[in-house]
Amino acid sequence: MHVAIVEDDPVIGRAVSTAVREAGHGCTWITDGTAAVDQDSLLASDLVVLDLMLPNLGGLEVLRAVRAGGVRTPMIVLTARGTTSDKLEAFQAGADDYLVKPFEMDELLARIEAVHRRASDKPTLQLAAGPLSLSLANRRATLGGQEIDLTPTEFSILELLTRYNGQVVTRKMLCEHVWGFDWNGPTNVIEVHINRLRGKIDQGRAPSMIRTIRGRGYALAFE
Amino acid sequence: MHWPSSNRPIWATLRVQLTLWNTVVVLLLATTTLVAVVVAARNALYRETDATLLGTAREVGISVSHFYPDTDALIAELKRKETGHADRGWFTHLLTSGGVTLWRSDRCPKAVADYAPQSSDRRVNVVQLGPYRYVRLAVDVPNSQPLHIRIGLSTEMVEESIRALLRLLVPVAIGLSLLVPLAAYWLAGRVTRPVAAILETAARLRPTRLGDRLPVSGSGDELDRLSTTVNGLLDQVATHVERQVRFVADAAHELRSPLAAIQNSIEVALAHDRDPHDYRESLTEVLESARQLTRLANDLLTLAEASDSSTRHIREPVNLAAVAAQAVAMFEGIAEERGVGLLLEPGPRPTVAGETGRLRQVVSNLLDNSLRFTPVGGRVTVRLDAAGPGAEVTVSDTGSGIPAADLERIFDRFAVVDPARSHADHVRSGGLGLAICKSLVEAGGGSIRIASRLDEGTTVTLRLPIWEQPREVVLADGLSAGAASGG
Repeated sequence: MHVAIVEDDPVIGRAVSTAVREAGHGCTWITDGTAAVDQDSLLASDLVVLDLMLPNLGGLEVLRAVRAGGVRTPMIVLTARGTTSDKLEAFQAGADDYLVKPFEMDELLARIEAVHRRASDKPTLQLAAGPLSLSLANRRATLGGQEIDLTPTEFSILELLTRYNGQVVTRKMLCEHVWGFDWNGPTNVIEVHINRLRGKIDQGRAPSMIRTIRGRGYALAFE
Repeated sequence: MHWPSSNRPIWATLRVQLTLWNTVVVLLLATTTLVAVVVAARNALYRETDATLLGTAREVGISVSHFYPDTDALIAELKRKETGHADRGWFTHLLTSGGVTLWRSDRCPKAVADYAPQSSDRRVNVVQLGPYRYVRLAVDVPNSQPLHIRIGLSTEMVEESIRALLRLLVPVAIGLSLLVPLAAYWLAGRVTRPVAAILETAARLRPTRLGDRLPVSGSGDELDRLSTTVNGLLDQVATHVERQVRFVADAAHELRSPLAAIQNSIEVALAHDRDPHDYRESLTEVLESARQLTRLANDLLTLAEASDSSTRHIREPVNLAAVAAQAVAMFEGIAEERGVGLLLEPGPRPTVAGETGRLRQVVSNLLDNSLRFTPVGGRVTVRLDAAGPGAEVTVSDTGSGIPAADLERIFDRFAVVDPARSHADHVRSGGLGLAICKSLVEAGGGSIRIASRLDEGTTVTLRLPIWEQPREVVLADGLSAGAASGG
């Protein structure tokens, strides 16, 4: 996948391009709104990450101009303004997804994957990773062909980890996926459920299939 | 700065306007009274005159029937009557129905003497002829046409009395016209003086200096009530401003610790060459502090957004039972791990008006608080009630409780309850949790209250408005039904 990043802040721009490259994607970094509309690299990309506060031409204008030109490349908007009306405005201008600064890099990478997949593939009802197999239709999980008994919460957590197999999933993403909103409070409500899930799917093996990535989140990993 | 009166024309001041209106009203009243008095006096005088003339005319009429045809005796009688009323300038006139003068007194004016009697069925009437007024009486005499007697006077005397009255009243009226504006100006000054004092104080007020209060005279009149009301508002504004200032200071302090951590971690990492593992450690610490800053910034923004009246708050139907169930599910694991019972009591399933995401956040915040302050073996209970026009969620715990002195500040931003009792978790939460709950609930038209007993537990109750189906839906149904039946 080739990702175009339109971002004038040098620190964020460099961080995002590095992360995108290290995730195995191609990357073009554009620092100016007018240039973004003119450049062909935007059209050549599979996906665009667009900052809203740009010199010369604002991100929303870029979005509208590009969409008015009939470009349907998926766009993820990055911005420091995160009220409901800000988000609505961005979606109305043609954004596919929206991420408020400061954001977690893992979440941006996951969203890039998700938006790209949504734009290209059909949704799947079956997920698999290593010995794990998840049926989304009847919400059942099997480990090496054997069914494991999971609570709805545990299934949801495992579903997201499997969907992003090999990638880091942050607590915020898990919270939003499992309970529909990001709980910003001090208590780590995910960890208890992760520990129980480990108990059910690891069945004594070490290290666990669910790795804790310090300071980032969790990821599935198989030997 | 603008003094309220400095750039306004004099006639625009309240005092001058009051004066003008008072003057106009009093003068109108005085003029009306004056005219009414004069008209009434004139009527009374004429009525009295007419009555006297009529009485006399009737007496003379009797004399005529008595003396006729002795004309001399008749004339003597008329002369006597005239002499008796000489001071009032009476005149008499005797004539036939054909208008031939039989006798007229010296004072009888030519105008009256020449004026032929009008043919009239009436035997008696009062005639005003120029400045003369007389009573005409027809007297029947044997073998002849009726004779006519006229007894009258010049109305000059009556008019002179009226003029005398006017000579008395007009100076009084002029005096009033001069006095009234002065008195009105003085009265208006008395009334507007407190207003001027209020204005002067109000002009001195600044957002940065809200110590001054409007003067209250203690009379309890409307102006006093105005001052008291404005003072009450000023008290609230002063408290609010003070709280905002403290809030900004508190927020800055809260920012300091993660900032210090970031700065120190980086300084230490850069001080010497280190192996990659150490750099990784330092960066992880920096990341944790940065996340703390993010959380704080998000909390502050949520608070600002909820308190900002210009924010358009979403109102949608929210299944309160589902929100509560979800929050309980979220904390079930934590509660079990900490050995605290977490129970959602079965109850009604009201649909309330609000924003699902925000209500989830509020209920989760309350559950988190309760769980953190409830010891092992304790219990946290969530209960739903539908009462009247609202619904309530109650989160009660059997935890350590909150001292009564702290209870009223518990919803303040950055309120730290009894620092000695609160542990690290609480301090880290920055005390914004309950303030956010309160702002979010109140922004959605609800309310929050708290009750607590030390070492027995705390109960927080959210009261939320019941969702009502918007009227448009009903109307649209009616329209479509009408259209269907019409077509």
